[in-house]
Amino acid sequence: MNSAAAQTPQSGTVHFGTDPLWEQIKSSHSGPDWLLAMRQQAFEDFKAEELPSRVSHLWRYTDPALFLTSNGLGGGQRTKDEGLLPTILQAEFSSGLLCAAASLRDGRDMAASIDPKLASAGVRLIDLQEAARTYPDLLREHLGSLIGADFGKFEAYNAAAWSSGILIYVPRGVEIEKPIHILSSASGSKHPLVQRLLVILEGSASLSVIDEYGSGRSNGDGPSHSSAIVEMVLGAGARLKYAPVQNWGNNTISYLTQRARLDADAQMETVMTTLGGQVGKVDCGAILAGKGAESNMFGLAIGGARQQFDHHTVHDHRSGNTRSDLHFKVALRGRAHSAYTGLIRIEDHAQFCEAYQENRNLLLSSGAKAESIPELEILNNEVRCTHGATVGKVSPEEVFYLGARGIDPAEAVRLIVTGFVEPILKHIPDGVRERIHGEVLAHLGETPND
Amino acid sequence: METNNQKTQTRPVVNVREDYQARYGFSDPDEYFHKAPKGINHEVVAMISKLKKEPEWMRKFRHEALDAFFAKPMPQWGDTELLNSIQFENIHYFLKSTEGTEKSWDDVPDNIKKTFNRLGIPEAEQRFLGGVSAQYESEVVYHSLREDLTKQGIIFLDMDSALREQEEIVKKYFATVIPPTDNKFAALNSAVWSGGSFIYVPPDTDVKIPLQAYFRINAKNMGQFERTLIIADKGSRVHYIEGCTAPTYSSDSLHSAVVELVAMDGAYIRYTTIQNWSNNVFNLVTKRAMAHTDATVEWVDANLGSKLTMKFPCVYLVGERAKAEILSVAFAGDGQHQDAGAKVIHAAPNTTSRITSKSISKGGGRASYRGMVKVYPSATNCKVSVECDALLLDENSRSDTYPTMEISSDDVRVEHEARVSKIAEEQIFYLQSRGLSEDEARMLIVNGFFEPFVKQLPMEYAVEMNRLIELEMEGSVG
Repeated sequence: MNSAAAQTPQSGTVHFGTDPLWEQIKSSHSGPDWLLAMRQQAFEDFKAEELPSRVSHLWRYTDPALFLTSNGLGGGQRTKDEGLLPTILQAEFSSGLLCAAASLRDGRDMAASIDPKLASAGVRLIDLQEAARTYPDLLREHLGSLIGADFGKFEAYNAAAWSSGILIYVPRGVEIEKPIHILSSASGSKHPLVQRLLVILEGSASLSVIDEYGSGRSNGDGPSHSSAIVEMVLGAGARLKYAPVQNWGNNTISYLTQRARLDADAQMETVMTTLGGQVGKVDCGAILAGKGAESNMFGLAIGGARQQFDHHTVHDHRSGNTRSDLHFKVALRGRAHSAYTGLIRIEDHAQFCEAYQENRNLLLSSGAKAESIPELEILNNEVRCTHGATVGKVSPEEVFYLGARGIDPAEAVRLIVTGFVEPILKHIPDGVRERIHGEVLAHLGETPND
Repeated sequence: METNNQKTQTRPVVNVREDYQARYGFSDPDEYFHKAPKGINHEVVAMISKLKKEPEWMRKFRHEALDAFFAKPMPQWGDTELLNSIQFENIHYFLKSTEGTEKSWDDVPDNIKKTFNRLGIPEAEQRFLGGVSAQYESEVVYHSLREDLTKQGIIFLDMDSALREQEEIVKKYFATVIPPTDNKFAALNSAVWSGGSFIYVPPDTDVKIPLQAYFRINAKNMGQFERTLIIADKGSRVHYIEGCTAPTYSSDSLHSAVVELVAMDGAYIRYTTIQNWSNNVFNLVTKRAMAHTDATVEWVDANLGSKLTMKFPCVYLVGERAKAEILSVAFAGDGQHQDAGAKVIHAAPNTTSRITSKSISKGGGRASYRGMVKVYPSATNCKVSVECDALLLDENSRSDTYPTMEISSDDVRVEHEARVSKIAEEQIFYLQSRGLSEDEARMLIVNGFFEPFVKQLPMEYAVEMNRLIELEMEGSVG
């Protein structure tokens, strides 16, 4: 990806290409030697690779130089985490809403609690560097298999520098009803947070994962930069629900790259919610690699003030009889700016596919800006494929109608916007939905400070 | 006619432009009055300007544009592989075949006359056109405008004559819509432009019959760089149609036009193109219109030919209540990439635009819709609708949709929709149950698919277009 990176004027500002960073990576590395070798290769790729070209629409609206930082890795002294979960996770876990909870704090080792029954069924929820020692074969097969160092400059950076991560492994046929909730957070804002998540579902397994970043915009909590890579491997007939929630404090610049690979008849549902941060870039995708695989993606981005979001989604139909559906909604206040680019690609041999893509943008203030580029690349004719995009404001007719029912205009707008976001929010797994819902409404209700 | 047995075996194939070689593929022997050597440099530009006895400002303009061409990088988007295969040093940038522009058909040299007779230009003129311009290689060889139109004050000239006879107005508008630095190919055109049409329609004048230009490339490795400028003064109306063909050579030709339209307050311009270049022509064209208050600009753009077309007719809506309508039709066959689309910039309140794109890909062809709609913050109460329909006729072909919407105003309604599909078996089955053969059914469906486009054409063109489509479908019967 982004191999056309040549001739980018910003390439002179690379700060991470210096050896002190490599020294830091080496000293914080606690995995096996093969993993260190992998990091070194990735680090060389990171140094060699140019910044993505802004000619490509994927970077036209967001300056790639924003994602480089000279803040080193931070973290400092590596301590075995106290093993304590943040109160919010602990509460959810103790009240039985979750099957497991895990926390990554300040880029250190994972703290986690898991239902003992699952552990005895072979389900694993472990720190990724530890997993590299205990399950080397599994990790060597899957780590970096979907998002390797060759994916792009920032992916190479992550592959070299990730300091904390999680492996979730669900054996064949194990179906888990309650979700796992992962919360990543940072107590300071001086350093970047670089982490990875690897989820492996064997055939016919099922799981829900809530992958939450930050504990609220208002807390001002968040690292300077957040780089996260999420790889998900679904065996035949596996079912996965994945809900990334980006809720960093106002100063964070975040970048999330996620890919899922679906074998035959696997089903994936992705529900992304982007609320926080200063600049947020997300690249989310599903590779429909086996016959009959199906991916449904739902996305919601709520922006205010001067927040800047850039979302990219991919549905890559590499096998026949696959199905994908996508609904991405954006509501913007203040001087917020959103760019959405979505790709549906259907390969020439992937016949009898169905793909649908919808992007709706609601501009709630005159300073808000939305870009939408829904793309189709269709290489065979046995397909059914449509997409649609809209940009607009709250319809005055609807406000008038509600006014006629005795609802004042401000309340009417609130109702209409709630109606706009609700169809996406309802897909967030039980247990945390209510809290996220509250955060969304609070974000929408704030007075714009532009 | 094929047997039933064959019919069930081979899926009916739509043969795009199968008769192209027979109809347009002929070429005349190379006999030129002036032929620039291959390659591009300041000497060639100086020679062109000198031959045309141009004013100093135009000479300078050309040289500056050439510097811009050298300085600008190739586009890093689109079909970069094909783009980078263009050999700029292997192209003749100027070919002049006669000494001047003829006003009487009888005076046109025989070989050229034969060419245009075969293409039906004088006939078409007699039948319904208000004016005709025929360009052969670099220069316009025949030109006429009906007398009643001349009396109305309408100016319809080839661009070179316009520069001589209407220098003031040409200088006022030339390159104001598309500056030479706009893109690499606009820069190249600005440096070596030759021929093209110039039209000026006086205020409140309605040109009731279409004006037409016909472009023909005959020589090998030819570059045609015509330049068209149409100015519709306040409250006037005009419809301009252009067509183009070339013989099929094994080496590539380059066609890179610049077309500028200015629709003043309340004016209406429709610009229709039926692009039917042979499969060895790179067709890289910049087309842009300015629509002032209450003006309407319509681009009706059909791309059937060429190896690679990159063409995105554009309208800048700079006056209140201005309207843009772009209808883009593409047919991509074997070895063709139709990278067509549309661009609309809303820079004033209460402006509206509608883009309709229809494409068919077959036999390994690739049709792309690439579009851009931009709404500036000051452009309140705007309406935008974009609709793309693509039909894939076989499994080897490809269809892409790359729309871009950049919306910086909250007081807008922007809608975009795209569909990609094949011809539905149900539809064919239904039509067969009504007694149509499978091929007839396919043809009917394809005709229906192109209907919104064909219906926008003047009658004679609509008949021609329908015939082209029928020819495309013929293979399935043959």
